[in-house]
Amino acid sequence: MKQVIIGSGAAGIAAAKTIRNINKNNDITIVSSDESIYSRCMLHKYTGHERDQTSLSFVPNDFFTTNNITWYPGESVLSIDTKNNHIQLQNKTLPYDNLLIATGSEAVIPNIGQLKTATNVYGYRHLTDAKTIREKAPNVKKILIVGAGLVGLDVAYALLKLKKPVIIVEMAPQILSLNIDSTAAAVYQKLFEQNGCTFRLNSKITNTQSNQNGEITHITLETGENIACDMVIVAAGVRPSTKLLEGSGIEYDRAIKVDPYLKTSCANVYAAGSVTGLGEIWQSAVKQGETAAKNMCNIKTQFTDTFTAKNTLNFFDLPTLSVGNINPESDDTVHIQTIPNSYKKIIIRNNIVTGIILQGNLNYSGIWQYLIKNKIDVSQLKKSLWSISFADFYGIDPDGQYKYDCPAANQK
Amino acid sequence: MTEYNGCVTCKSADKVLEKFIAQLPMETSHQRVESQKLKCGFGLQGVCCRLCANGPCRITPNSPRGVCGATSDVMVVRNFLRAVAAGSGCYIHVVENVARHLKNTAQAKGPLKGLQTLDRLCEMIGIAGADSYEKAIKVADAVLADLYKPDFEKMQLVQKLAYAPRYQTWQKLGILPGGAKSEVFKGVVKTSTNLSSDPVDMLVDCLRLGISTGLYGLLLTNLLNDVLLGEPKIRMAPVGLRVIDPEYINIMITGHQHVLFAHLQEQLVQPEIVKLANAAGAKGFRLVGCTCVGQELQLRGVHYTGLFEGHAGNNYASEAILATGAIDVVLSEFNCTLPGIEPICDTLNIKQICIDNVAKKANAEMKQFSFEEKARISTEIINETIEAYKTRRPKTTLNLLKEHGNDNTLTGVSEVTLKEFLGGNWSPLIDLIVSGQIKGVAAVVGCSNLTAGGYDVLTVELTKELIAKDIIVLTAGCSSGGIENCGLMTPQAAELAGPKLKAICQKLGIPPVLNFGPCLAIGRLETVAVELAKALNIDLPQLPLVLSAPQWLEEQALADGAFGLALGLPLHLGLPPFITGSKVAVKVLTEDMKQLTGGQVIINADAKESANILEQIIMDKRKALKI
Amino acid sequence: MSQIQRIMIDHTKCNGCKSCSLACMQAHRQDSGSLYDLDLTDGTNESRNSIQTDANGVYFPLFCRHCDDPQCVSACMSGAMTKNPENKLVQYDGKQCAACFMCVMNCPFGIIKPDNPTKTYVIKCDFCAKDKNGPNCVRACPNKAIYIEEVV
Repeated sequence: MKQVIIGSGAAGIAAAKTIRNINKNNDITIVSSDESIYSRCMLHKYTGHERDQTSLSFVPNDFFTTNNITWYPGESVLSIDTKNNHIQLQNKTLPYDNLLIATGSEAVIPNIGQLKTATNVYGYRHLTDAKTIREKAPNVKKILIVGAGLVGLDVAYALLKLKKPVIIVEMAPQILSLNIDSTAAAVYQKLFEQNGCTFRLNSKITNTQSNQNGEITHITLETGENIACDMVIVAAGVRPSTKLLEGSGIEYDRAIKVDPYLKTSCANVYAAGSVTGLGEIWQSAVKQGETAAKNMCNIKTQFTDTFTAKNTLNFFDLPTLSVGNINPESDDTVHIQTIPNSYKKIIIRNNIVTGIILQGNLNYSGIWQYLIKNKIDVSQLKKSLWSISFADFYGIDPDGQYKYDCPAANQK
Repeated sequence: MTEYNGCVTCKSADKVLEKFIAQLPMETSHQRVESQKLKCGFGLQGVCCRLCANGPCRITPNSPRGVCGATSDVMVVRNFLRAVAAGSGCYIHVVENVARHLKNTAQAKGPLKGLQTLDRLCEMIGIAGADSYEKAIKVADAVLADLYKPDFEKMQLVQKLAYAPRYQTWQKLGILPGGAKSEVFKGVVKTSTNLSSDPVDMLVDCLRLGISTGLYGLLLTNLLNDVLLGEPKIRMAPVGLRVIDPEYINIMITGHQHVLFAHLQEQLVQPEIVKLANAAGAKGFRLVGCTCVGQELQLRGVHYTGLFEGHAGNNYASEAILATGAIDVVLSEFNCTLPGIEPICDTLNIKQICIDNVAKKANAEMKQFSFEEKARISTEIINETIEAYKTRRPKTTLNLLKEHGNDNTLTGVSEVTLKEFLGGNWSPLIDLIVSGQIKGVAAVVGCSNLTAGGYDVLTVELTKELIAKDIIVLTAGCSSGGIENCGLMTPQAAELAGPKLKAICQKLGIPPVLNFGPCLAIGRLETVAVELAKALNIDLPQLPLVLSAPQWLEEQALADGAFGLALGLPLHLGLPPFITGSKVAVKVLTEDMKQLTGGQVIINADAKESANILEQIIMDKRKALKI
Repeated sequence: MSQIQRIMIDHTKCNGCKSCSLACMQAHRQDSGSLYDLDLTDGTNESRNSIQTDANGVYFPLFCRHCDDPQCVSACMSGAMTKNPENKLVQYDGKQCAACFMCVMNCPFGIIKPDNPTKTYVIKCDFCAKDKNGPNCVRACPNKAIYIEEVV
C-alpha cells in the first residue's frame, strides 16, 4: 500500500512513524517543502546560535533509512488529484492509496502599510525565516517585532541573546495575553526589559514608512508615534496552509474539514496537525498524525484528545505552565499563592479546577492537565489545593501503570 | 526454635567463630546484619531530627531546614552532643559506683588489694591519711565531690590529674568541666527542643564532656578499681571460647563494673560454696569473661586463678558464647549486654540476673547490688546459679568450640606493669622510638561492631597494617577482645610485624600488640602517653602517637573520642559518627580542631588507607620532633 | 510480544523513609563518594522519584512508569524524550532537550519535573541505565515496596 504524506512537521513524521510501526511493508513517502527536518518550536534557538541545523531535528539522523521511508525534501506539491489518487510535484507524479495532508500553518502578515510587500519583513514559521533573520541580524540596528505572543517573544529572546535591540508592538495590554495572566506576564516583561527589550503595549500599527529599496524604516502607531526599525518580524498569528488544496475537491474553509477519524471530504485523504484547525500545539499535531496513520492502516481510531488549552513557557530559566481557562469569571473562586520565585494561581468553578498558572515552580505539575481536562472534583480532598498530588488519586494497574482512581461522583 | 535468616552472617575477622556462628541453630547479631543492611541515609548523615512533634524532619536539597528552621548543622551537632552526653553519663555512672564502693569498703574496713595504687592516687591528688582506709575514704570523697558539683563549679581534681600543658590549653579554650554529672545534664538540656542552635558551641561542649569522661570515667575508674580489686600483673592467659569448661558451673559476666562482682567472686571460691557446686555435680564455679568486665578480670587475672576461666570474647561474641550451651547464668551489670542474648537464653534455659538496673534485661531477674546487702545478694545468686545448672544441664546439648582462641595471650599490661617490664622507666621505649626501631605508637581502642567490614574486620586488619609498619599497637576495649581471639596478642604474632618491631618483640618475647584490657583502660593509655610526653618534655599532640577507634559502636565511644580530641590526638574512626550531614561539624572535627586542641578526626573505612594516613601523621610528628 | 521490566509498587509497604530518593540522588550525583557524603544541601542532587501522601497521610511512591503510551514523548518537540523500541524505556537525552517542559505538563502523574537549580533540563528516571545492577531505588527499599518485575 502506498502511503503518501505531505509535510515533515510533527504530524507528518508522527504519522510516518506510526504507519511503519503498524506495517513493515507499506510504501511510505513524505513530500515536504522543508529541506530538512526541524522542530518549529526550536527555530529561535537557531536564530540565537544556540543550535545548528542538525540539532534542530527532532528525529535521529538515520530516521528515513531505519524506517525505510522515501523522502522528497524541498518539493512543493503543485496539485492533488483526488479522482485519480495522485499528487503532482514539479517533475513527478506520485500515486497514493492513502494521502495525509500535514502541511501545517503559515504566518499571517496583516495588510497594513507595506508589511505584506516590504523586503525586510519576515514571518517566523519556517527554517528559511529563522535562517534569513540569523544571517541579517549582525547588520540590523533595530528590530521591531509585531506581536508579544509566544512566537514573538521566542524570537525576541533569541535576538536579545545576540545583544540586538528589540522593540515589540502588541495590541493587548499585556504580553502573552493568550497564555498567562497579567501578574505572570509582568514578571516576564520585566525580565525582557532588563535584557534590552522595549514594549509598546495597547498599540496598534496603522501604517509603515519605507525607503527606496522597499525596506520599512518606520512603523506608525495609532497614536501617531513613529518607531524606527530596519527589520520587522511579524508574529501575529498563523493560518492553516491550505493553498495546495485549490481545485482538489477537498473541503476546507479556514482549515481542512475532517471527520472524527481525521478523514477529509475525499476518500483516502486524511489531514493532521494544525492544518485541521484542531490545535496549534506540538502534541496535538503528533496525536493527530498518529490517529490519521492508524486510520490509514485500517485501524479505526477516533481523534479524541482535543484539549489544547495548555502551554509551557521558559524564558530566562523562569518556567511557566498554564492550563485551561486562565481568565476567571465572576462566580469563580481564585486561589493565589505568591512566594519568592514562585507564583501559583488556581481557578475553581463548581468545585472543579478550570484553569491554573504556575510560574517558577513546575515540580510535579503534570496532574493539573488531567484534573482540568477530566473535570475532577477536588473539593472532597480534605487537603489544601497547593499540596494536591497524584497520591490523592493513586491507582495502579496489574502491569504497574498508574491510573487515576477517582470516585465516580468526582468525575463530572 | 527461633527463626533465623538463612545462614547469611556478616564477615568476620575471626574465621573460626564465623563458621561456628553460621552453623548455629539460632539467630545472632551476625545474621541480623544482613536483614538490617539497608541503612537510612538521613540517619547515616545525622540529618534526621525527632526532637519535636513537627518531626521527624529530614534534610534534603528541597527541604534544607527542619520545620523549626534547624539546619543540617544544628540537627547533626545536636544529635552528636546528645550522644556524647549519654556516653559520658555511662562512664560517670561507672566511676560513681566505683568511688562509692571504695568508700563503703574502706568504711567497713574491707579488703583493699592495691595499696601501691592508693598511694599513687593520694600523691596525685594531694591526700594524706592515717591509714589506707582513711586515705581511701578521702580519695573516694574527693572524686564523688567533683562528680556531684554543679556545672558552674569547676571540678577540683582536673588540674591534678591532667598533664600541665593540656590543662593550660583547656583553660585557654574555656573547656574545663564543671561537675561531671552536671555536664551530662547540661548536654541533655542544651540539645532539647529549640534550645541551643549554635553548632560550634555544642561541639565545644563535647570537648568539655570528653575531659570529664576521660579523667574521671576512665582514668580514675581504673585506679579506684586497682585499689579495690588488685593491680594487674603481666602474664599469659587463654582466650576465646576454648576457656569454657563444661565441668564447672559457668557464669558469664557482662558489663563494665568489676567492683560489683567483688564480693561474689570472693564467695565463689570459698570451700563450702565449692562443695555446693560439687554436690550439684560440678567441679566448682567459673566466671567466663565477656565484654569489658571480662577484660577487667583478665587484666587482674593473677588474683583470680581457679575462678576466672579466661576472656571468651567481646560483645559480639556473647551470643556465640551462650550458644555453646555451657553457660548456666548470665550475670550483667552494664553494657555491652546485647538484647539479642535474651532469646538465646530462653532457648537454652540460661538464667539471667542483673545487678544494676541501668542494664536491666527483659528476661532477667533484677537483684540490684547494694553494698549493705551484698552477702545476701551473693548467696541468692549462688543458689539460683546452682539451681539453673541443675535444671538446665540434663536437657542441654553442648556445642563447644575448643579450637577457638589461643592459650598464650599476653595480658596484665598497664601503665605500671609496662613500665616495670621496661625496667622501671620509659627510656627503653623512648630510645626505640627515637632511634626509629619503633616508628610510633597507635592506640587501637573502642568497641567492636559488625558493619565496618564485618565483625572486628577493620580493627584486626588495621592492627596488622600498623604493626607491619613497625608501629606498636596498644589496645583497650572490645577491640582487644577481637584482636586477642585472632591471635595478635600472642608472642607468635611478632611474625606479622615489620622487621624492626618483630626483632624487638622476639627479643623480649612479647607480641606487637599490647592489651591494656577494657575500654576504661583508655585512661591507662593516656597515662602512658603523658609519661612519654613528660620524659620528652613535650605536649601530647607532639607525640608520634595516634588514636584509632576503628570499630566504634556506642555513644560511650564518642565520649572517649571527645577525650582523645581534648588530649589533642589524631583520632581515626572507621565509620563516621552520623555527622557527615553537617559541613560545620565535619570541618570543626576534621580540620579546625587541629588549631584548637591539636586533635583531629580522620574517617576512613579502609584498613590500608587508614594505616597509611596514620603512618603519615606519625612521620610528620617525628619530623617536627626532629627524630 | 516483548517483555519489559517495570518497577512495581506496593504502596502499602511504603513507610516514607525516602531511601529510594536518597539512592536515586546517590546514583545520579555528579561527584563521587558514598551515601555518607552525598551533599543533601546541594540542589543539584535531585531524586527522580518522590513519595507523596494523600489527605490521610498514606504514603504513595511516585515513580516514572515508562508508560506504554508515554505522554511525555508525544509532547516532546525536540526529540529528547523517546520510547526505546527494544527495552520499552522512556529515555531522555539532556543534550537534545530544549527545556520547554511540555513533558512536565503532559505527564498525567506529575512525575517529571524541571531541575530545581537551573531549570534547564528535566529530572527523569533512567532506570539507572549505567548501573548493571539496575535501579538503585529498588535495592535501597527496606520494605520491598518497590520491586522489579517483567511485564508482558
